[in-house]
Amino acid sequence: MDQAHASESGMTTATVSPVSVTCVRFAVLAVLVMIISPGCSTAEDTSASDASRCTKDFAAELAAAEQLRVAAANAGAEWIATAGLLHSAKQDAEAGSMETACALLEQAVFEARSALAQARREADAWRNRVVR
Amino acid sequence: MRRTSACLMISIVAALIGQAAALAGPEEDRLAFVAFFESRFPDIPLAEYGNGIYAIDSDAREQWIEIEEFPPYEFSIERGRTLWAQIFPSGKTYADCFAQRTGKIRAEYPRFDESRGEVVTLAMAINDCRAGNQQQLLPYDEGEIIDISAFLAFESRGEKLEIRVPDDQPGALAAYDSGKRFYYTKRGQLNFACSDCHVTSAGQYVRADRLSASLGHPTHFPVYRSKLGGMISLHQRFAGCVRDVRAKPFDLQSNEYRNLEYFLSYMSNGLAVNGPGARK
Repeated sequence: MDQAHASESGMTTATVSPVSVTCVRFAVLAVLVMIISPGCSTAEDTSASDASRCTKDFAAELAAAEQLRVAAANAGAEWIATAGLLHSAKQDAEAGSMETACALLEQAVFEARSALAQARREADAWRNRVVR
Repeated sequence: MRRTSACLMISIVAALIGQAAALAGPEEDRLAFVAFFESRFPDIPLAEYGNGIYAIDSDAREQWIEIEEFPPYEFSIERGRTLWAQIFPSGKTYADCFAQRTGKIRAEYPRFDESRGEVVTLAMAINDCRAGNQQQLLPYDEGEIIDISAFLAFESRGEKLEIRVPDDQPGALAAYDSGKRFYYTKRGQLNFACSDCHVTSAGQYVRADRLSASLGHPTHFPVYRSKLGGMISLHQRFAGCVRDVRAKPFDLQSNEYRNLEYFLSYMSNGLAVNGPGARK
């Protein structure tokens, strides 16, 4: 319905400038992004900080990653490559290839955390797949 | 407000229905399982499901029928027959360890052993028999134990699977439920449940191969796999599937796989044993 038709039908319309509409849209979008983005953050997102930390005390980081892997295994949810990644990370660190070692450790931590998150999700989610 | 309340009510009812299905008893589960596949593949007779993918894929079936003219598992049956007849130093044989006649054994395994509080598979029972006769235990992934299983499956051909989850044994129901949970749980890097492939996507293509239905899976094991050039057990197939979704496989004859076998075998109750089989 355009303004002329609105006037004819007795309706009143406020004049809103296109700039204001754009500003409002942008503000709404910004608010939505602020609300949604923390929800999209998962355990996997912390892996970058793990990589940077691992160079400070690699042995401790490796031990922590191994604990995560064991936790995933105890939950019956370990992924196939995690143990191999940790093993390779240790070997690379022993050979002095810290950059590669940290990258592998980062990947292992990502996998172990993802497996644990999967186990937590599946604690109830499996019920929805039961044939009925 | 009314709409919100209605949505809330619908969500609660849906959740309750989901919970009820998850908690349904073994027989309700089995009937629903069979009904699902009958609805998905209305032209396939129930008895055909024991043939796995060859019940669904007519092209692959033709090749399989030709393979069955000279069955590659025949040597395994004959080796198993010889092993079955061997007399232990105690003077007993394998047959003395089983309450059933030889031609009935396969159809009644796996079974829940209340005194041990766990599911006992046929492979385990064979090793229990050896332990009872002071014989070394056989490895589960090769050779003699698979040959004996192949022989027993062959002897039981035509016998209908008769797996029991006794009402008066709560441990049996817990083991069944554990297997059911394993079956429907997503795992691994690919985030797949057994049911994703063998229920939801049964009959669909994965690259050049079609996915079989879970109904009837346990009836034809052990199988000769052409791509491996040898016999494999059902648990080796489980491990292969778990590996395929990039999860770490469990040990053969682990609690996880035994409970899964218990659940899957119950789902196939009433279908005839037709092992050993031949697969690609």
